[in-house]
Order: sequence, then C-alpha cells, then structure tokens
Amino acid sequence: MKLLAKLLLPLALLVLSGCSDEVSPVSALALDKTANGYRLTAEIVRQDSLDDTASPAYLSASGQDLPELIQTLGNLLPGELYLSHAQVLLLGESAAEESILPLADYLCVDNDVRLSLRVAVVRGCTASDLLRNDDEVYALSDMLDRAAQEGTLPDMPLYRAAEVLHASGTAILPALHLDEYGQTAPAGTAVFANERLSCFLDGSEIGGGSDA
Amino acid sequence: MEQITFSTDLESNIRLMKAIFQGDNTFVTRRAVGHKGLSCAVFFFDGMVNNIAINQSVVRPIVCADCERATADELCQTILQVNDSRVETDASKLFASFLYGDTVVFTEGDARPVVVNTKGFSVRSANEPENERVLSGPREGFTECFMPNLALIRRRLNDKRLKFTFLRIGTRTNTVVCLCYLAGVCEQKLVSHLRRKLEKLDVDSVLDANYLAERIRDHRWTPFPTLGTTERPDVVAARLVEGRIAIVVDGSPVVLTAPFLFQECFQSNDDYYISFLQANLSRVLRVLGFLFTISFPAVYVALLLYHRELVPARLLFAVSAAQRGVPLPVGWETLLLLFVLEALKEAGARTPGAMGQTMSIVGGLVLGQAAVSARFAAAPTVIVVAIAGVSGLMVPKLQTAALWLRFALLAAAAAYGLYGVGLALALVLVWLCRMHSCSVPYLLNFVPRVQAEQEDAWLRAPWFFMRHDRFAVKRDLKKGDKP
Repeated sequence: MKLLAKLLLPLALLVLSGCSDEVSPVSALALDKTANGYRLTAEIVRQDSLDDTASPAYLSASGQDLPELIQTLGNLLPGELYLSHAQVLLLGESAAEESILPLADYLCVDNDVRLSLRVAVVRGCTASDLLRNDDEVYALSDMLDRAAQEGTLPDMPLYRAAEVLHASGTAILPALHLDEYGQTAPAGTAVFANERLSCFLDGSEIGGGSDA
Repeated sequence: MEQITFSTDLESNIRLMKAIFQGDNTFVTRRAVGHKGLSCAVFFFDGMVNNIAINQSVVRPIVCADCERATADELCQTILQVNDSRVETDASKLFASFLYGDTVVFTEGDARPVVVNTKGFSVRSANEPENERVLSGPREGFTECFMPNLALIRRRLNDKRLKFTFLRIGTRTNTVVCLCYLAGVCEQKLVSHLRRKLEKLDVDSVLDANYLAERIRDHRWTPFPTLGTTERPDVVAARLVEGRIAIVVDGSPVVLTAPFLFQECFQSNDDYYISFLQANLSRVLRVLGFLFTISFPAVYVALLLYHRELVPARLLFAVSAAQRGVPLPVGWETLLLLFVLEALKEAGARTPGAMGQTMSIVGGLVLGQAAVSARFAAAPTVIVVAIAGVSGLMVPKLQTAALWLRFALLAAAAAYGLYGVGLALALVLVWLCRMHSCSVPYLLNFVPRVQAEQEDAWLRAPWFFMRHDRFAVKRDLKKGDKP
C-alpha cells in the first residue's frame, strides 16, 4: 500500500500542479496620455501554427494608471497577458512629460517584465501610431539595439533609467519618430529632468555623430 | 534425492536404472557383451550425447574386449577409449553428470558405475552478440553451452592463475555455475564473498544469469546496474585482468561480472579497439545522452509551465503556437507521449524483424504525424520525447534507470519546475554516492583521492598511458567491509 502511494504521489503532483493556460506574449508596449487618463497599446505576437511566421496584433485599453491598464488589457485576451518577452516600451510625449518614475518602478518591481526592456520616447506622433507602424515583431527592439550598438541612440534599458532617475532625477532616453517616408527612425535623445521629459536633443547637439 | 544403492548384479542395476527413469523415452539402455563374455550395460540420454563417441569409444571397446570380466577401474583405465572417464561412487554426482549428457556404464560384478564424458548436444556457433556489436575487434560471443564458454575465456587468458570454480545451484535445475577469476589479481575476499552469496541461495531453478543477478547483487531495488553483464568473451577477459570476477551460468550466454562501477555504464567494447580520440568523443556523447534522456522532457515541461521567461522569444512563440488547440496540459501530454514511446519500444522489441520495422514506421512516423495533425499532441513535445528516446538508446546499460528517472524527473518538473528537476538530480547523485557493488563504492573512480584510476573513468587514456592494474578494488576496499 505504501509502495502504491509512493508511486501515485508523483502522478498526483503532475495532475495537481502547473498551469497550462494559453499565453498571449507581448513584444512591445506604447503608453499615451489622453484627455481622460492613459491609453496603453500592446503589440501581441500572433502565431497560429509552426508553419506561420509570428505577426503582431494590437490591443488598446484606457485607464487611469498602468496597473489598471494592464488588467484591462489582460481581460480582453483569452490567455494570460505575458510581459516577459516584451522588449520595448514607447512613451508618448505627453505621457513622458509626467513623472515616469512610478511607471518605471511599477514595471521593475510589480511585473514580470525583463529589466532589459528598452524605453523610448516618441516625437511628433502618438506612441500607439509609431508602434502600429511596423508589421514585424521585434522590429523596434532590433532597431533600438542596433542604434545603441552604433552609438546613434543612448543605450538605456528600463533598469538603468530607473536607477539614474532615482539617483538624480535626470536621464536621457532614445527618441523615435516617423520620418517623411512614414518609417520609424531614430530622432535623437529625450532629456529628462526632475523625472519628466524636459527637451529633445538632436544627434548633432549631443555630439554622438548621429545624423538623425 | 533418496538413497540409491547399486549392486554387483548387472541385471538388478539395469532394472533399478529403468525404474528411476521410467516414463522418460529419451532414456536409452544398451547391453554390450564382449566376445569373451564381458557383460556391460551402457545408459545415456538420446540427444544429449555424441553418438559417435559412444559407438567408437564405449560400445566397440567393450565388444572387442579380451576378458570375461572387468572391474569398474579396469573398465575405466584399460578398456574404454575415452579421454574423460571416472568411477563415481557418489550417487548425486553420478546423476548430475548423467542428466547432463554423460554416459553411465555398469559392468557385471561391480556395483560402482563408470561415468564417461560423452556430452554431445547441439550448440549454436559463437556468433557476435546482437546487442554488443562492435565496429572493429573480436566478434565471438558466448553461447548457451557452458564448457565452450569457459574455453572462450581461457583462450584469451593464457595464465595459470586463471581459476574456474564450479558450484551447483537450483534444487530442480541443478545448474552449474562457475566463478572465474585471476588468483592474485582479484581480491580473494571478493571471491569468498560472492561464493558465500551463491552457496547460500536456496532456489528451485536457475535458467539464466539474471536468476542469480537479481538475487546476489547489492541494492536490489535500484534501477542502476550493480552487476555487469556481457555476452562477449573479450569483455570478460578484460574485466578478469582488471581484478574482477566473472560468473558463468550454464545455459545462459550472459556472463555476470562483479564489482560493477557506474563508469562501466558509459563504456563500450569499441572504446578499446578504436582510437582513443574517437572513443572519448563517443563516451562524452554517451554521458550527455544519458543526462539528456532523463532530463530533456522534464526541462521542457518545467520551462513551459514555470519558466517561460527563460525560453527565447521566437522559440516560445513557435511552441505556444504548436500548443494551441492541444487538449492536454504539457505535463500530461509529455507523460502520455513517453508512455507511447515505451509502448512502441516494447512492441518493436517483441515483434519479429520484418514486422518490427513496420511497427517503427507506423508508430514513429505515421502515428506521430497524425497525432500532431489531429492536435492530439504538439509537434515540439513529439520532438522532445523522440530526442529523449533516441538519446536513451546511446547508453543501453542504463535503459532501466533512464526509464524510471525520466518519469521521476518529469513529475518533479511538473510539481516544482526547474527547482524540482535540480533537486531530483541532486537526490540521484546522492543515491549514486551511497551505492556499492560488492562493497566497492559505485562511483569509485570519480572520487578525487583515487587519481590513478581516472585514466579509464570518464575518458579513456591512450593505451601507452594506461597502467596494467588500473582497477582499484584491492586498495580501496573499506576497512571492515564484508568481502
């Protein structure tokens, strides 16, 4: 009897544990300020079979703060809103003009996002529009990686931005915009003072050799 | 066996023998009378003897004998023309030999029978064992025939210290079991230890080496082998040279060797017959294969259930896409596929050759593809289970251990994720560290203090670096150990 119990225990554990929920992996997020609060747009990766290529789908939700936005977005999806593989957070100009430290802290502490998540500020259009501009998963993060390697944009992942904002209240973040051809392109650097967007510097102004 | 007493009267001895073997139609009695009146009775079992030897070496000399009477000693020494005959007064030994193919001869006026070695049953040739094939090297294998097996060993070890000690085990089968060892090379305490264990056995029958192996081995409940098995005489010879003991069982082509250390699970016969560079690469692959086969399904399940963030993004998307629509959670799915794999292996092993191939194709390809198409299983899970199955074949000596550990680790992964897998692997390592084979630590050669023996542990050193006495049993038996 004891032997039977010992043999059945692992099986019982197998039945009772683990989760098999379908997940909706998010590859990028865009946060804009609206008249009534905030709008969060998530780029969700859709792949229906092994033969398909991963393609982005977009979902938006409105709310007063980020926890509410994430919860609302999660409620829209059949599976779990899965943030671990999100690689870019875009901030609209108006959203960045408010203190971004609570946002950074929330993402660093309370969520399962990676601390290597890159943060960028969008110039000239909403973050949602820029996010929806590409139809390829991780195109934005690939571009930010490349630009950081080349030195045309600052290399500023979420954890580092949170650190410097906590330390001095100032930080520089990469800026992006839609160029005259409607393509996503680097747009210099967003300067933060007192945890808020202060101004933008073009490539020539920061002396990084950028032609943005 | 009840007490049997023969008399000096030949007719009464014949009646007695016929009474003992009444109902056995293979029992043959042959009266042989010499031309000067020597009267003898020859008994043998049809099919067990060499008929030519009986005709030419037993019957003909009796018929041609120039005497009226002869004692058993005279019969043995001067009349029978055989190389191996003796006067046997112990009834149990007499019948043991008789039942094993020897011929018994009684002569008028002497109650003592003569036993003549006329064994001549058919045996298969010493072909290469199916499950221990080598790319290069000797291709002989043991057969079910006892003495030729011993000859195969002796032919390789022309050393006067080579000892063959016979025992008889099994009240019904009375099976001959032989302890082989090199005196002076093998620790005598080990020989005594194994001999005592064998002599203590109280069993009805011994029809194969495994009848003994499961009874005499240490750690009877472990899936890890603690006794070596081989069907190759060259392997036995190599192990004897290293100071081990071989146990040859009559009727079985499998020879047991002891002690058996964990490292031997990853050693192959080929390792010693091909370049050490190639052999070592193969060994590393076998070790990785074993780790892979026990842990790959578990790690896969743990990653998908608990640690998705560790999976590269694009791989996660693909796996998630494949999982979509599959009715079972990934843990159950993997468990069921592992059962299917074992079922296919079992079916393949039990079906005849041509059908076995069909089974493989239908089971592996058709069923696998159909299961994925029908969304019964996700393609990545099928791939993981298939890779685990294939890599398990790289270490045949650990197949039982791999089978059980695979399921155990899977349960640990489903319950506790990668932490569970790590904990389970640590427990397995502790378990291995506690194991012994004939009181020799199972992981002996991985112990840092035994530096010299590591030249054939994980990797094989080139032959020009290899010492002769690389097996460390003699020096590393713990003080106070039983053997």
